[in-house]
Amino acid sequence: MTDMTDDQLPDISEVPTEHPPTRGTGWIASKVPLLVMIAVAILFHTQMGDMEVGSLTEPGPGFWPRVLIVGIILFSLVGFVADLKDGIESFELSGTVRVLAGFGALAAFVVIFDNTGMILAGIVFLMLWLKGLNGESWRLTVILALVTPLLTYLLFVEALGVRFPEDLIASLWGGR
Amino acid sequence: MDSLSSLIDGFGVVFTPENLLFVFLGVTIGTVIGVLPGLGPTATIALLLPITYGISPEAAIMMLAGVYYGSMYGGTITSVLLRIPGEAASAITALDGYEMTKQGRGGPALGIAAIGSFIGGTVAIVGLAFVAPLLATWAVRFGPPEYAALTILGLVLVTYLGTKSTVKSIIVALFGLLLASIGPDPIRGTSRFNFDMPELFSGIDLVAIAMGLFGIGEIMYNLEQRIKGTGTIGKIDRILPTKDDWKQSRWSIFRGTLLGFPIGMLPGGGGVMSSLASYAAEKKIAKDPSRFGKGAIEGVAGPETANNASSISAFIPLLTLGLPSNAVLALILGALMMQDITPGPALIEEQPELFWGVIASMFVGNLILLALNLPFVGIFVQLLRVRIGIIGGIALLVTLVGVYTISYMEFDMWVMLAAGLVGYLMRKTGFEPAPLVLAFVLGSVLEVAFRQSMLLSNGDLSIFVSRPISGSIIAVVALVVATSVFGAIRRRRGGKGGIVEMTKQLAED
Repeated sequence: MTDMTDDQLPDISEVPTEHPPTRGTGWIASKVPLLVMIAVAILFHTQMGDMEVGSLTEPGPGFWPRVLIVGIILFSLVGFVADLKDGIESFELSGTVRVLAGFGALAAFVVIFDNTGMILAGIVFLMLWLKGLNGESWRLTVILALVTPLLTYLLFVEALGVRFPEDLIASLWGGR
Repeated sequence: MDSLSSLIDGFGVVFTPENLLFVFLGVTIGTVIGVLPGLGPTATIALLLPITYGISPEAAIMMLAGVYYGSMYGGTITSVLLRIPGEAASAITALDGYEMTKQGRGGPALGIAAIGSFIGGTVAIVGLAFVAPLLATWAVRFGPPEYAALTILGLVLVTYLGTKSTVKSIIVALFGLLLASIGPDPIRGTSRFNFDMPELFSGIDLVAIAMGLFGIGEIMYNLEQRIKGTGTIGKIDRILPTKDDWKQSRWSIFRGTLLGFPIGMLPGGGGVMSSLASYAAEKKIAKDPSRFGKGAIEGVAGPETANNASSISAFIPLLTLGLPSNAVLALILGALMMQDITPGPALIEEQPELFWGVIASMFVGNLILLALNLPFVGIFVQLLRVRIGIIGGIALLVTLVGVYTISYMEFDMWVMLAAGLVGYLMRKTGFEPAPLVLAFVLGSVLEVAFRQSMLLSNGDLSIFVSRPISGSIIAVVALVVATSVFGAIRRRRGGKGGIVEMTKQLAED
């Protein structure tokens, strides 16, 4: 075991520390998920169509889903009378916008991936993620945004033989 | 002797360059993600699933198992030195471990945790080698009612033991079962809930769901959190515990092994519950419980031993019954299924290289971990320099590409994004994803077992209680539900509970 002096110790100024989540106190926030679950259960129910339910003696394909749909609705209703506020965190505007932007970046990746291949999609995604959402330096962003997709391409396509949609950038050097 | 000679054959499977490499990769990745706050073993294994598709089943499971028990070692480092649990099972270690660090005894805290983890893990491996074949022989007699009862027990224990809100967990577990019913009916083959989308005819992919719920959900949650810096890292001096340290902790290590091994086998058990139970037990039997939270070495030795023992014994129900006891094992089951291997009582006979190879790899992995953790703690701590945003971005890219490679469908990427959004929202609203994933994996097992039981009994529900094994399991289910209800009432009245209640209380805190 090595002795470590203070100078050798890593800088942990950016290590996320445990901070207690902000507890929401709203009754509504704890009940909205229950309404969503009931809506989902009803949506599935509408899709049962002519699925045969059968009976206990001979349960059909619809028997089990029907039991589950009823169960979800029943327990969601129980949730309306129980105290479910524990664990709810408040949605703060800046944080929520960052997360939505994060999902936007992921969605952009999927769309670009389908149209122009993996490398360009990866470059665009990492630029958005590292610079736009995490505020990394331009130097680090550009290096990682170029190197990571290229290495991923080499690993999956060249080493593992995986087929991605035709890649616009790889076609520049005869890749696929 | 049969087990012993099979185990020796298992070492033959491990000692090939490819398998050794994957064991080493697994335990190293496990230690690294254990050190890094923000990525737990569940998320990491979810992210690694697509990669396992291209390697042999033995190597895949050896690597994923290594990630799991390796993370138990790694999580301790940040718990003890920074009071930041790298993963949930080490959270309780932070209480006394960090106090020891403040007193200049961080080294012995890490040392005893590594030694305890090694002892607990090794004893559990021996237990696994002997208990699993016995259980498999016994499980051959299991019919549909027994499987249905076991699956129900698993889901009940997961919703009760491992989670904060029982009602919320029941709802997400039912939702997981409903999601599992998308796709062909497991008995008649007719299509269900395809929402007029051809991609849903074969159901939803576990990997997309798991990677979204755990991987993307977790990374997005980290993205949302403002990163602030406080706290100072503790100094590491000598790492080997003194004679007195060993004297104080040897019985805690013994008890941690005894507690961790059976808790790991319980559905809903695993690292978190075993470490909490061990801490509660140590505190309860201590001559001076007030020492706990102020740097008691037993508060580090017991939980760390227990969480490692349980992470090994958790493989028993998976490999012998095909039933995962927690979300991590559910993902490992997914990896096996991706390789067209369905674990169950016949696995030991049909896939001896896999079964005994994985067990032997755990011995090797634990040795590697001991060798890695004692001298290289300082290097692992340096990993904290890498910002979670950078790791998150790279992990997301590899994840998206990885999920595409499973079926070459862009649809799976969208499913994963949707699951990621759901995972993030669940985290924000206090719903835990683990019961959902476990229910999703067990969904078709439970439905088939239930429907076959009904066909066998002509629709008589008493089949579940009239057969000795399924009846006993249902009795345990009833006992758990009753304990849950009475425990809640007792706590509401301000009464003190036993170790189980103390454990649950610790988990909720």
